[in-house]
Amino acid sequence: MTAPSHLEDAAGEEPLAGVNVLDLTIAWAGPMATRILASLGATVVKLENPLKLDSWRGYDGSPRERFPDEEPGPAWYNRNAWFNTQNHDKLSLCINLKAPAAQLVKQRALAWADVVIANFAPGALDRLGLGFDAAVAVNPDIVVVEMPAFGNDGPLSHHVGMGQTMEAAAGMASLMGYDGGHPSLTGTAFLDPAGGLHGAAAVLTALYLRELTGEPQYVEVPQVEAALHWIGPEILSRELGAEPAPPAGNEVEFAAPHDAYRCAGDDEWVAIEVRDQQDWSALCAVIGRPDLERDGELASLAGRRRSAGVIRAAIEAWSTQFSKEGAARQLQRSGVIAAPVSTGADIATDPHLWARGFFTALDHPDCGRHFYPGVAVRAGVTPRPLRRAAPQLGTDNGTVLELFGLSSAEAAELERQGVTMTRPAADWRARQPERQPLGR
Amino acid sequence: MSAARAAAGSFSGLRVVEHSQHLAGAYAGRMFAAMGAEVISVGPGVSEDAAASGRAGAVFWHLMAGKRLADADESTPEGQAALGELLDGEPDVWICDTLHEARTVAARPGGTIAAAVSDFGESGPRRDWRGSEMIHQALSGVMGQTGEAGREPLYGVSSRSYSATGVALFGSVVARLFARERHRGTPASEPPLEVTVTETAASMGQNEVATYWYSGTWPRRGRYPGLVGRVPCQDGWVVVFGLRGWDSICRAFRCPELESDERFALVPDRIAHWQTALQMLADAARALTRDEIVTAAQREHATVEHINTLADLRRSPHLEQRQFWRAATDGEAGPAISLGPIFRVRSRPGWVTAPARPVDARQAGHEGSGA
Repeated sequence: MTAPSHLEDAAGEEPLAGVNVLDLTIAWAGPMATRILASLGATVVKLENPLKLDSWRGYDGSPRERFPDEEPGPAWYNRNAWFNTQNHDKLSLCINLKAPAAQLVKQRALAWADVVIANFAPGALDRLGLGFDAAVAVNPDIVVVEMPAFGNDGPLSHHVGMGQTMEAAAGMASLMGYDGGHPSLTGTAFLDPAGGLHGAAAVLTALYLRELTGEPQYVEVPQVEAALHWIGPEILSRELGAEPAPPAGNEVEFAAPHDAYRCAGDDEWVAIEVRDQQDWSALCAVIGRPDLERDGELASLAGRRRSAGVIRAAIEAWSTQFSKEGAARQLQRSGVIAAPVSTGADIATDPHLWARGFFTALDHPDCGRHFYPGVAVRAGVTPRPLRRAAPQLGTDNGTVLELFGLSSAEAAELERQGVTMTRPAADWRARQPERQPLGR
Repeated sequence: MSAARAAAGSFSGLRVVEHSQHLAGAYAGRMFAAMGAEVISVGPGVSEDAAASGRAGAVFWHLMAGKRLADADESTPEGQAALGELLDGEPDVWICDTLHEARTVAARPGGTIAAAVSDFGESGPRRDWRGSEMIHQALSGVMGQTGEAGREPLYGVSSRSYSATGVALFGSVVARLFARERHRGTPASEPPLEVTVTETAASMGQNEVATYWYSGTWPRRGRYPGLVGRVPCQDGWVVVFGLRGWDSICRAFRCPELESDERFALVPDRIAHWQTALQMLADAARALTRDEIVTAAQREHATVEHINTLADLRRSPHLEQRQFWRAATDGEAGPAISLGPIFRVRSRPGWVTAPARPVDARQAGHEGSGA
């Protein structure tokens, strides 16, 4: 039997072909969720407020290194690497949704959409007139997903969160750190991409349930609670009577050594993990220290933990002769778990990621050609190449309004009234009292 | 799709076989079970990582909840037969650890969605590498940014990259389930799905590589310019995000003099003097509790938060009120609680927290869906 062509599409690379997403998310977690949906074939319209841009487009004071050649330029809001990485394959409608004239657009947009997604504080989407009750009144098949940091109710529901404060709230920071018990935060806002994955999974679940039930769906993604599942074993261990040990660097109970060791170069490291006697023997052989293997004190995990200083000296006497990649390759070849501690530059040239088709080159009108990384959620074996660079602010206003069913005359009138724009509103800077011109 | 499934508004009736020893496979299976799918986990259900970690018990209780456990020793003819019968039962989803197995399952009639999960995938120069949480955090760029400048970079905690991969795997499968349901049919052949930990972790550290492509620079640990910092106070720690609401933060720490201090007035100033600012906040915080600081800051929408311990979380009135902690239905051997929903579907307030149940593998292969 030959599958009808529409099924081949669904089977091949675009399970979300024909799915329309109204994207009101900002910063990292929400845009990452919709980026995943776009990569699965959904049509994603990013709604942007000319009076309050997505902070990831940049702000006065944005680090210059996020711009091409460290030069923000006059169109800085189209040139931020972080925004452009997160918003490829989306359309931009830059519109002041609070303007009275935007009411028609909101109604048409809700009728057009399969999904509305936002990562605002609880209640904000309702106040915009795009919450579940308003949406379902217009579109009885709608899916609405919101991603409040602490959920829609409860004493902390009004708390503002970002990746690193959510990581602290979720108990992770207290489990990380060097000796001394001081908590540590992941250097990147790790809970933001965690929220992105959870947000995408929530939308996909809701779409599937909608198909099964024929009913509209509302899903709340409380990002802190979702993250608690990622330390579920630690939480349940405590319930079983094992209080967590104070953080002690990279020390873990199931391996020793389990740490990063210096290599040739400045601040270059190789991560090494030894779980059992076989690993230990292999490590001793690679670093040319058979005497350590014969040392009875070092035959157990506990003994190796007690002698961590001796072992570090032995490993680094060897590892500092090599690049981190070279050291890791030698160790892995001998069966030892090891990897270079990579930087952005290393990832950009990572032979494995390149061989896996992880990067796509895209041309951006304001930034030129750059490579962009792929996403984790897949529609097949190989990653689906990205298709279109992140949109310039409001560059798709006309196209999107047409998708929503507005006439060209209606679209022109919105532009004339300043409801839709292609640059930040003139008084945008006045609304940012703490910020100064870029490059100061 | 069955009417029963539609009526239930959940994944009930969906049959998932988890033939995976991979933590990410178990995590994805847990998400399906929690949504009401029938999940049969074949094998011991915990990976080498978990078994070696000493956390095996807690990993088991966390990831195996709501599943049926089928013991099948694949080195024996009986075990292989049991596995074959599970496959012959044409489950909706088959989660496994090799692309070869996924391809084999996907090629069979019956329309089973086959998904493979592994550390590095089956192509690329690292396909034979051994992976672990620390290794994936190292390769993703996240570890290199975590910790203090001049000291060893820190890998993080638990198995977060594997959990992330489990969510990605779950999402990949549900996307295909949606497509099939939408088009009311199963195509003649579909490729398997493949999700890897290394690519998932890399996708979460995308800012570092994006910055490199744009400007040839990359961030280093200890020099994060994001105006985030930890502050010790009377009864623990809080974390401060100082990009916005600086005046509110100063008031929350009861040091209004900082509001007018020119060193911190504007964002670029605060970036330049951030360590000084944190020290001054810490001096003020010695006399304040976490609650006093966080409550005052959040009242004015400033981003200051508790650094919670696990004990804090268990007695959190917020999580209590939201009924996040669920009583385990069989607490004799395991923990007395389990964790509540990852996300909350309004039409389906439940979240399956039942313990895992042993089942005969060959019997499971013959049972219909909806068990």
